[in-house]
Amino acid sequence: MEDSMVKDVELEEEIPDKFLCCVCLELLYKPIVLSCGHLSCFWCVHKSMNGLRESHCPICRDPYVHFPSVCQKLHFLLKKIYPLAHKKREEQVLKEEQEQDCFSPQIDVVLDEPKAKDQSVNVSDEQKVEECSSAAKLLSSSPSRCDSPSNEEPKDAETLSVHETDLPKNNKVSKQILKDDLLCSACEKLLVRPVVLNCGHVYCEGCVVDMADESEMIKCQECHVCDPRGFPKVCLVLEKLLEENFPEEYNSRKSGIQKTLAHSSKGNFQSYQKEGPSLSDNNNDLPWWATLGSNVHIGAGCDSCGVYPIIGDRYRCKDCKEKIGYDLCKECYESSSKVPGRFNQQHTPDHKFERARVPQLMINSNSIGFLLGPMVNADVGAGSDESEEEPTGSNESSSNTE
Amino acid sequence: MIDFSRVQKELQDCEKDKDASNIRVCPKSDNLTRLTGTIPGPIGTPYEGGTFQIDITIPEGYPFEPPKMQFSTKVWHPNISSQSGAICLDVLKDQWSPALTLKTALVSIQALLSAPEPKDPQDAVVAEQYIKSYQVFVSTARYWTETFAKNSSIEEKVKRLVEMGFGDAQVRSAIESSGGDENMALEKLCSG
Repeated sequence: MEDSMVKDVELEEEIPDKFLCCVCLELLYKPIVLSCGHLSCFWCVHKSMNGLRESHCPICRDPYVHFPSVCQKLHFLLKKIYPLAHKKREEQVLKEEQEQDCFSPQIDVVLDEPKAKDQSVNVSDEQKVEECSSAAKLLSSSPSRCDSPSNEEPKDAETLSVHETDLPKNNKVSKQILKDDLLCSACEKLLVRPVVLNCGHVYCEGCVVDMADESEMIKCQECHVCDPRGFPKVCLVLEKLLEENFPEEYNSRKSGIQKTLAHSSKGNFQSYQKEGPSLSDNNNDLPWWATLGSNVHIGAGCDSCGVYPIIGDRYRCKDCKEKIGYDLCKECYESSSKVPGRFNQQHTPDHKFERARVPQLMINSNSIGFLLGPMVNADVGAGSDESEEEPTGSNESSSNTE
Repeated sequence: MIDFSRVQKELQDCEKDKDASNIRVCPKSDNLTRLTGTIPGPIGTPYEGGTFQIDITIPEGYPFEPPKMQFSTKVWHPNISSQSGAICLDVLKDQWSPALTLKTALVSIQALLSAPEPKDPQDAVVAEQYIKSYQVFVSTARYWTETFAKNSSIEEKVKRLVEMGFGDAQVRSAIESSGGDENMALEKLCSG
């Protein structure tokens, strides 16, 4: 029966390769855009990150240490264009989350289609989680649901059934991508060369250049959080979407932007790319986590800036009950950030923190070097990032060709 | 927990362009943890004309851990053990990325057949031969391809011998009595 549903979805909605996650090979669900511009699902990024050291983009192997927030703009677009496949993914992921007792941020409930909004906008966060849980329970308990997506369902499932009965009717209207869906949060015009910040908000590349302050930190105008990474690269999937849907306007915007860049800030912009804080800066040294030394919190990430693993002091919330817990790195703890947790934790500002100790044995750079000896040596020996990132040749082979 | 839906998707994708890539992946059992990959020997190498089978085991952490792959067809190659079929290839170890697939890994193995790395050997004997007497290496590799990687099916052998003008029943009994060896069967047919 599930097979027939899968086929239905595939028949109705042909999903182009660009919207398939490179990790799970399914429709991107709660997409995250890395600073290299490549994307993957929330859980796929989380699972492919390395708890011990810096992580690498699955596609281009660009190194990164921050787990970015979900790009809501793209999330809602995909939901709009592929409602059936998206629904299927939502149910599937919710089921997995239920099994793991660990939830991704519930962004849909906050910013949903009008009908769902009316129902749940006043519901407290805790109830939302319960709502999700009951939906997941329903999934596992009534497998006949797909055959009869109608009104005979229990009240719990109201949100779900509302979606399902509404979708076929609304398909034609709501699938249309509007210009309003793809506006830059800064200039409020159609996005041009879109980049996605660590917080998941999308801007034109040019607008982000203007937003960067003298210390080269980019502060998001929507959530007022600084992007702790270097200058993000253009998200090509989003750019393609813009080009396909608004070819004329996009191209004229793009050529306009290129002209102004050439005149004023282009040189400026290049300097950001070069001088921006970058992981590859210290590539002649030990890897960044080893040089910083003695305090790697293996497998623990900061719920504010997303750095993973946390290095140095780590503060753990004493009041968050979720299995995954709520942690902050030193910088975010001191800046008393107000960002909600990365995993839908019900963290509030009145919660108390305690300094967490490094689990198990104290780890210093020497012992990490010992544990990961070959990797450290390979990195040091490689000398430059290019040779490390070369996807075709092995470390061994590159030494051969020298 | 293995992501079987992803493995399933990979198998479908492989099936779709098997004519273009000539690369196949087939499950060995129902549970998709053990599979067999098949790659053709690259043209212009001593492996040309051979068909190589690779045993694939999907680990618990797939696709965040690389699949385990080793040759089940015997191969003479500096980076592949002539004894066990173990493969020395970075993408199957620390250079694995979850965006890679069984098919792309098999393509990398195919590329390894075209471009051996004798300075980073898996099989020291083969690597030494490759460096010191390349011509001997080429002929050994070719011989191994002929012997182990060109196992045509009984039906193909029957077809070839029948085309030579022998009777079908006669051919079948000759092949059977010579243990599937086509040349021995031909000798028997000629002498008998």
